[in-house]
Parts: sequence; C-alpha cells; structure tokens
Amino acid sequence: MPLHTELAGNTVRLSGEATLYDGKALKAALEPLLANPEQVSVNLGGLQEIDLAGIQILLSFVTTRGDAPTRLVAAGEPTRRRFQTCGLGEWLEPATADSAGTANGQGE
Amino acid sequence: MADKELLALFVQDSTELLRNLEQDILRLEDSSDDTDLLGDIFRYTHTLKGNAGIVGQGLISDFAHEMEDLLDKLRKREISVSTQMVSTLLSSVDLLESMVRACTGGAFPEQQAEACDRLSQAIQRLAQGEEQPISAEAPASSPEKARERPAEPRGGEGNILQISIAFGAGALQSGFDPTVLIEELSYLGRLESVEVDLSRLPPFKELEPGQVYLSWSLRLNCPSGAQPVRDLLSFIPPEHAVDVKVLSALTEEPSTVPSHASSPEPAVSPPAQVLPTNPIQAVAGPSVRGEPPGSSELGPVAAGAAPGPAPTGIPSSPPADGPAPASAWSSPPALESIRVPVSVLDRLMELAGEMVLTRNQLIQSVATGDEALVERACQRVDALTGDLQDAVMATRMQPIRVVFDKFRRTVRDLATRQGKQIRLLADDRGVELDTTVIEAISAPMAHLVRNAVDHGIEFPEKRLEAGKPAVGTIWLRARHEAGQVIVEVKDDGTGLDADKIRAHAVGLGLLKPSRSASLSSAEIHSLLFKPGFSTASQVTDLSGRGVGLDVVHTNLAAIGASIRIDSSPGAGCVFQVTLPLTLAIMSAILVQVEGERFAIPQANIKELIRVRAQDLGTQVIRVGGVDVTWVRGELVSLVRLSDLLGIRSPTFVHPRSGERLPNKRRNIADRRGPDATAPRTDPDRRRMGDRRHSRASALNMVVLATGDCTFALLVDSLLDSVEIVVKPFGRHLRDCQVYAGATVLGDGHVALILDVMGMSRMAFVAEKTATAAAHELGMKSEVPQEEDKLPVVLMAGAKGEVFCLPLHQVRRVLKVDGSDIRTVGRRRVLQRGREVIPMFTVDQVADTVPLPPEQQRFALVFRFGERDMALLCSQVMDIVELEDDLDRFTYRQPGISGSLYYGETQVLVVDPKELVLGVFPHWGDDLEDAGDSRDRPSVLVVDDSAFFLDHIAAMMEEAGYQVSRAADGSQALGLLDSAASPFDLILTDIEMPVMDGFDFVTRLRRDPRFQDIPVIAITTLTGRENLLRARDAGIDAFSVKLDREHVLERCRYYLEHGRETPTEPRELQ
Repeated sequence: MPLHTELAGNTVRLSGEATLYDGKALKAALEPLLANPEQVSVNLGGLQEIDLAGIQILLSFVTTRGDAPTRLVAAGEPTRRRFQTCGLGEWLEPATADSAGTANGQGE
Repeated sequence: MADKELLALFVQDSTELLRNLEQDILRLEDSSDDTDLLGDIFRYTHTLKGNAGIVGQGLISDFAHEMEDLLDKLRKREISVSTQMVSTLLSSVDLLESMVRACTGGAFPEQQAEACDRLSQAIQRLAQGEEQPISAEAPASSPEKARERPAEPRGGEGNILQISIAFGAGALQSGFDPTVLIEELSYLGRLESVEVDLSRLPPFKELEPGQVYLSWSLRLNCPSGAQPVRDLLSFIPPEHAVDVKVLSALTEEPSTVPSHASSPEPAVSPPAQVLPTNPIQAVAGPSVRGEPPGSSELGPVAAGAAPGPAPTGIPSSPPADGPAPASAWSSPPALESIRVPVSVLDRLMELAGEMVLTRNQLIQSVATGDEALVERACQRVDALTGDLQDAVMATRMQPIRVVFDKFRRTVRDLATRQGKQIRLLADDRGVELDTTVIEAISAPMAHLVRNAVDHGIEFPEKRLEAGKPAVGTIWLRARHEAGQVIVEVKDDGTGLDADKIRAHAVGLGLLKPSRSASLSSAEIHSLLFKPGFSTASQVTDLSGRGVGLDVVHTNLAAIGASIRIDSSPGAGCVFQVTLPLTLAIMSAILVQVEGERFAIPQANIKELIRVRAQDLGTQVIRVGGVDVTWVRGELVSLVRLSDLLGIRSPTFVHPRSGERLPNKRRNIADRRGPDATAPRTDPDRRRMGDRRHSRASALNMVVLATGDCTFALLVDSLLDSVEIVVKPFGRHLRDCQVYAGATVLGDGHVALILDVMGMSRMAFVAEKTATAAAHELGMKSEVPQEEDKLPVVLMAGAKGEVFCLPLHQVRRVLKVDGSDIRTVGRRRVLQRGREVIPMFTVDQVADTVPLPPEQQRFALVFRFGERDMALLCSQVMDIVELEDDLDRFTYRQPGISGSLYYGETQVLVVDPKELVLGVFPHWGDDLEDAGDSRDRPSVLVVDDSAFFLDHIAAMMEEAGYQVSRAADGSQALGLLDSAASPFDLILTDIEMPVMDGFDFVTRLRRDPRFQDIPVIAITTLTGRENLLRARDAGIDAFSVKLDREHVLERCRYYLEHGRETPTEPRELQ
C-alpha cells in the first residue's frame, strides 16, 4: 500500500508504507513542518511497513528541527519493533494504551 | 581407548543424542500426553548424563541430572507440559550442545557455568510447578508481548559476537536493508547492545531517501554458535561491509575459526546500555571501532565472495595452506564423520570379496590367453564396478530428514518471537541425498524457510481477516522425480503479487515496460532471483521474499540445482528446488573442440541440435552484435566454445580437400562466398566442393540452461554420453570460471568439465536473453509463428516402423543397457540405481511389429499420473514439427491415436495413456483414486483439429483436470447446454468450421448461465484487431497453441480468481 499522508495543524499522520519507494513523498509531507517552531507530531499509527529509508527521513527530520520539539507518536507494532531492534526505540514516544487503536488507523 | 578418542566419541554420540532430544521436545508441545515420547526424552537425557559421567564431564552430567528430575516428574504426571517448559527444555538442549562442543577445548568457561546455573534454577522451579521465565528474556506468553520485545535469546549463553554493519550507500537500491539484517540477527540470539552511528545522517533537505547513512555496532550473544550467523551473513554481498569478531567463541569448532582466532579474548565486560537518554546524543560517533587486542577477526564477511564462482557440481576444495579466505566464514564446516548402516558395510565387504575373485579370474584368463574367459571376466568387472559404485554412494547418502528436522526448531523459535502461529509439516518420503548435497542445501533451505516465516505467513489476526485459519502452515516436501530430487518449501501465507513485482522490476530498470506485459507469472516470479531486485521486495508487501533469493539461486546453481517459484496472491507460495542426487558422479555429454575433449553435465543440457551448413542462413542470425539462433520458437544466444576458451584455430581443414586453409569467417553466421548469389542447390556447387554441402560442415549445438538463462554452445562434434567421476581442481586452478573440475576418461585421458553457469557469465548471456534483445530491437513480429504444427519425438520400432510421441510429453530419453532391465514375473522395469521405471513396448498393446530385446536400446520416459513410465524403441531419430493432418482411421487402434506423414514416411502417433492402460489396466483405477473426478475442475476443450484436441486434452488431464471435448463452437454449445454441471473453464480454438471461436464465445456470453466461465483462446491468431474482437466476444486470454506452461498457468489463475472485469484479453505470448 503506498504512503498516505495527512496534515492537520501541527500533526502529520502517515499510513501505508514508508519505504524507499515513497521516500520522496514522505520528505515532501514533512518539509512544510521543518521550520515550524512549535511542537510537531508525526503520527506513525497507520504505518504498515517502514524500512531504513523511512527511518532515516524521520530521524533527519527530528535532528534538523534541532531544539524545536518533535514527537514520533503512536507507532504501531511493525514500526516499533523495527526501531527497537535497531537501537532506535527511544526516538519513539512510549507506547500508550490507545496506541494499538491508532496503530490500526482508528484515530489518534 | 585413549581419553582423547573417548572424548571425541562422546562428542559424536552426544551430538546425535541432542539432535534427537531436540526433535522430541519439539513434538512434546503437540503431544504432551504421549508417554512413549516422554520416555524417549527421559532416556536420551539419562544416556547423556551417564556418558558425560564416564568421560569426566561433571558439569554436563549434573545439568542433565537436573533435567532428568524435571522429566521424571513429567513422566509421573506430577506436573504438566507447558509452552514455557518446552522453551526451557529447548534452551537446555542448546546449552548442552554448547557444553558438549566446548568440552574438547579444555577449560570450561566461567560464563557458561553461570548460564548453566541460571537454567538449572529455572528447571528446578519448573519441577516444583512454578511457571517462571528462565530469564528476563524468556519467551513471551502472548504474541503481543513477543512482538513488542526487540530481541531475545535463543537459549543458553556463551558466544559473544561483535558485529559491525556499514552497508554501502546504494544497499537499499540493490535490495539490502541493514535494519532487516539486524532484525534477522536478533532472532539468532540476544542483542546485548546496539549502537547506532548517526554521524553521517545529513540535514533533512540534503538527505537522499535511497542512500544509507546509518551504521551499527552490535554485540550478539549467540548460544547456538556462530554457524547460524554465518549462514545468515552468507547472503550479504561483499560491497556491504559486515565485520564480525568473535569475542567469546565458546561453542565454535576450532576448525571453523581461522588459526589466529584460536585464543579468543575472554568474555567481554557486561553489556551496557549504550543508547543515550536523549536520542539526539546518539549522533556522536560509534564507541566501538577499535579492535580489542586478541580478538579474532573473521570479517569482513563477504557473502558475494562466499558463493563465488563455485564450479557446477563440484564441491570446492579448501586451499592447502595459508589463512582461510573470507569465504570460509560462509561455508559450513565439512563433516568429519558420518554413520553408515552395518548392512551397507556388509555389502561393500561382499563386493570387495567378489572383486578379488574376479581379479584372480582375469589374471588367470589373460595368462591362458582364453579370450572368451577374458571377456566374461571383463563383463563381471563391469557389473561389479557398477554395484560397488552404488554401494559406496550409499555410504554417503544421508536422509533429507536431517535437514528438515533442523527447521522445526527454527520455525518454532521465529514464530514465537514474531507472535505468529505456524505449524511445520514435513514429508520426506525417505529421500536421501549425498552428504555434500545435504551440506550445500542447508543454508539456502534455511533461508527459504525463514523467508516463509518472516514474510509469507501472516499474523493471526490478518489471517483471520482473510478468512484463513489463525495457524499458518509451512510444508517441507521431498520426492524423487526423473532421477533427481525435488524439494519444496510451501506456505499458505500472503503469496506473491506478480503485478507488484512487475511494477517494481520496471521501476528498478530490470525490465522494460514494453516487455513486462508479455511475461507470464512464472517469468515474473523468476525476477526475484535477479541480483538487485531484492530491495523492492524487502520494503513492501511483496515482501522480503526477494531478499537474498539471488544468492539462494546462485548457491543452488553452483551444485547443479535449480529453483522456481509458484505463487498466487493471498494463497501462498511454493519454492521448488530440483537437486542432483550426488555431486561426486554425474552424467555428462562429451564434446570435442579443436581436438580437445570436454564434458558437459547433462543436468544443464536441454537439447542437442545439428544444423546443416546450408540451413545456417535461416537458423543463425546476428542481433545486436551477438549470434543468436532459434530454438523451439525462442531466440537464444549462440556461443562458440572455442572462442570462449580462447582456443579457436585461425585455420580450418577443408572437409573435401583435406587442406588446411585460413578461416575467414568472423561470425558463426558468416557463410557467404563470392558466389553467394548462385542457388545453393546448384549441383555444380556440390561438385566444386562448396563447404555448405558437406556433412562435416554441419553445426553441432548444445542447448544449455542454468537458472533462467538458456544459451546454445557451438562445438565441433558430439562424442558420447558418459558417467564421469568428478575430480575437483587443486587450489591453483579453482578460480577458473569456465571449468568445474576434471575427469579421467575410459582411455586414460583427462577431460575438463565445463561449468555452465561460469560459461554463461563469461559469455555475458546471463545478462540478457536473446529473446529480450530481439524484443528490444523490435523483432517480435519476426518470431516465426508455427501454424498448427506439433513438435514430436520420432522413434524407430522394428523393421522400419516409425512412431512419434508429442515432445511435451517426453520428460527425458535414456540409453538402455541390458543390465538396466529387470524382469519380475511378466513385468519388466528399468532400474537405474534406486530409480525403478516400469517399461513396455508399443507392440504389447498395438498390432505392430514386435521389438526384439536386442533392439530395445532407448527409452522415452513420460509421466503417467504420479509415475514415470518408459517406452522402449530401437532408436530416437529426431525431434521434428509435424503438420496437423492426423489420419484417425487407417491405423487407429488401442495405443495408437492415428498416423501422420513426415515427408514420405508414415508415422504412427502413440497414445501413451492407452498404452499404459493396455499393459497395466488397474493403473487406471489408481489414477481415478489419485483424484476424485468430482474434486477436479472441469474443462471444455474446443478444437476442430483432432490432433490438437487430443493433445490439449491429454495435457489438461495430465495436469489433473476433468476434460470434455468438442470439435467446434456449435458442438461446444450443445455440450454446455446438456452438461449436468457447468464447466469451470473453456479452452477454445478460434478458427474452426461450422462455428468459429469468436461466434461461439459471443453466443456463450449471451446465456446468463455461462457468463462467469473463463474462456482462454488457444490460437496462433495475434494482432490488435483479433484481440479487440476477442474482447468484444468475451474471451479472457489468448495463448499460443500448446505453450504448456502458459496455458496451465492461466488456467490456474482463472480457476482461482474467476473472470476479471472484461477489458482487453491478455495476450499470453
């Protein structure tokens, strides 16, 4: 399933696959928020698949924003597992009780 | 017996005991009430305890004693089996394996003793009925928990590997994602630390999504030794650096570690949490970059180097001296000993005794000069040598069950850790393979199984959503077929999406958009074996299924094996591997080039073709700078062996004058002299010695196939078919790409064995098929269209009778030796080693001239149900394409479907099914039993040509369909109208009398009862106009007549998916 992005306020919601093939689309979706000084949330709840290309874009987004607060939230099971196994688990917001719901794309 | 020998014996026995113990513990999960099973498990443990005590391995003995206590309570039903208990017992087996391997190394490592203590405590708690995890990383009690946990141990501890992963920038583009590798590594042990180097991650705007910027340093505690890691890393190409250091090699066999690694550094300091609280701090460079003094450097691991240019069919010999190369890391350790049944050794002894007697007879008969006695003794030596060969081969044969059994644990562990529910079903049918083949397939098979677990079987909730049972199934099957072994890894998971693979292949530039539409599903699936394709699969739903498959393909091809995929989206996937029985002895064809003889493995030979010199103009053409030739309607590259080997002589011997003259021909197709415009049939030219009319000027082509690459090799002459004993090259020659080894011929001369894959690489024919080249050059319209012609094998009977069998029904041709024929009662069989094929002659059923036994020299092997059958003849004459003018009356009788003309010769067309049923009538019942007709899809075949109707129907019946026949559209409509139940599928010709295919399908679609029946047109009609007519009529797909694979593949597709939204019918070829 291709990547689908939805921007609402300071939150961008991702669903589908954040992979090499959708890298440009992911960058384009995040770019408007790059200079936003307010807190920005990237909702990963709808992601079914993420690879290194997707991970690097997210990490670069967070590091480039520097001190501006950035949250990677609501990561579903496949995303969380990939981040954690690769030593990147702490980049994600901790899982919450409603993460499962958002992971299935049922709302934040 | 010396202590050292006793210890070695203990290790050997214990290894087998532990293997059995592991298998039985795995079975325990599903058969917890099986008292016999519990008894066996107890007995194995008890024996191990006793043996360890004898050789003074107290720690092993004590630990086994702890297990024994737990198992005793299980036997007495004081406690019951639980998943956690099974996991703990499996971990205990892992630990025992580590301890057994380590016990030959002297001191027992302290770290392992600690692990032993921890597991002992866990076992004691379980024995007291407490359900507690064996450690903080014990298997999860629920799938959800399992999936949340990033890394878990497989069992005991003691093997610390330091792994650095720094993939090349283009890794993602070529299919390798380091995050997937890390996830795979996490399944092999416990990741004690994971350090990420983010220092090369660029600012957001400069970041290129396809580049790799991150690198890792991992510390992996791998209780099962380094071998599983070695297997996994063998799939990583050399350009992506993976450095591995063994920091503590407690279970590593000394033979697998380079000499400078023999003193591993003591256990590293306790693992530390290396991830910073603030992730931003991780941008700092990696903390582990230096090499700890004394650490054993095993990398860089270069998987690409691992498979290397391994010669076809030849086990590579290790270098005699010097340090182990990088590839040693990826090669499994060679077996030092194997167990052989006493009965096999008895047989060897018996044969050796007979050999001595025969030698004495031979010496005596030579001394007396009695030629008759010499001849008899020689015949006896010949027969004994064959038997001896079989007996020696039998000592090397190992059950494939050994490989299958290993995967029970793999599947259980992977499934548990991923939160999936998977059962593994194995059916090995007693298949045995040579030890070297068993060793060679272990890693590729492991990859396929892991692939099925990781990417094939879905999570339970997804399976339930898809209407499947929550528990997925992986089948491992092995069977003998046509002198080879077929091994299948099948799953009922998500399957492959051919359209998605096609789109990704186009995206990666591996496939031209114009070409992609004409590929069949099988061709699309084979793209997964192409280097560089993997990326696409790894990052999408079509899934990591492509990851490393190119390496699987290469490794299998290196031992003369092949692999193919069959899959339907949502229904699962089957990887089918075809393996040789042995690598030590193989059937080969001897060819000659420039006076030198070479052997070509028969496993790679598709066909031998002789082209008359005067036909070269039409048979060989030059496309894009390469010579190509037509083979059965397909263009294949033509490679001159003498050019490939660099031995082509600048001169040639004139076939008529015998003079040696300069050879001015540059290309194979060059045949035009100054008088090229004169007619070639001109008798004057024959008299003048035109080379084109000499038999000696004919071209001999060997059509070769390796993987999905087919090419024709041009040789000077074809000599003989022989069984050769393979002699691997020494280290100085092992890098010769074109040769796979050498063999000594009957006359004592040495012939080099050609490596077909190496040749294809060297000739660059693997890069691009000639057909693809032709398509690119817009030659599609020039592909000859066969108008209602059927390729058949012509064979000679007795007294000039000629028979034929459709080529697609012939699986292989065997040269029959009288000693191959066995007679049991009135039944005769062809026996080659362990392969037994029922055989018969046409005259056993049909009224034809009886074929005397001395003329039964060749056998055409064809398939009947699940069996191979052999039809005997005196000679295989040719493969020709006959016009469709079957006379169904003059010679029609049981076993003969009619007659055709080949030139002036009348050819009787054999009906193999009738022949078999004529000789073995009850086998028809077996066929019915094999597939209840009610369960088989029903197909209506419509064709006005009786010849084609028969053969398409036979093809469909052979594939398991229930077939009805009609001679034209009108008859077909009548059948449809009167049928008790509607047909599942229709195959129809287009050009037919009375009512053609267009008219037939148009009328069919008007009837609401038949609107959902898929219709495939089998015709030579092409062109957009016909396609549009077909679409308007309601035809779903087009296929060229008797293109068996395409037709069957389309049938399967439509039976599974039903009709698509009517758009334009798909042109299959």
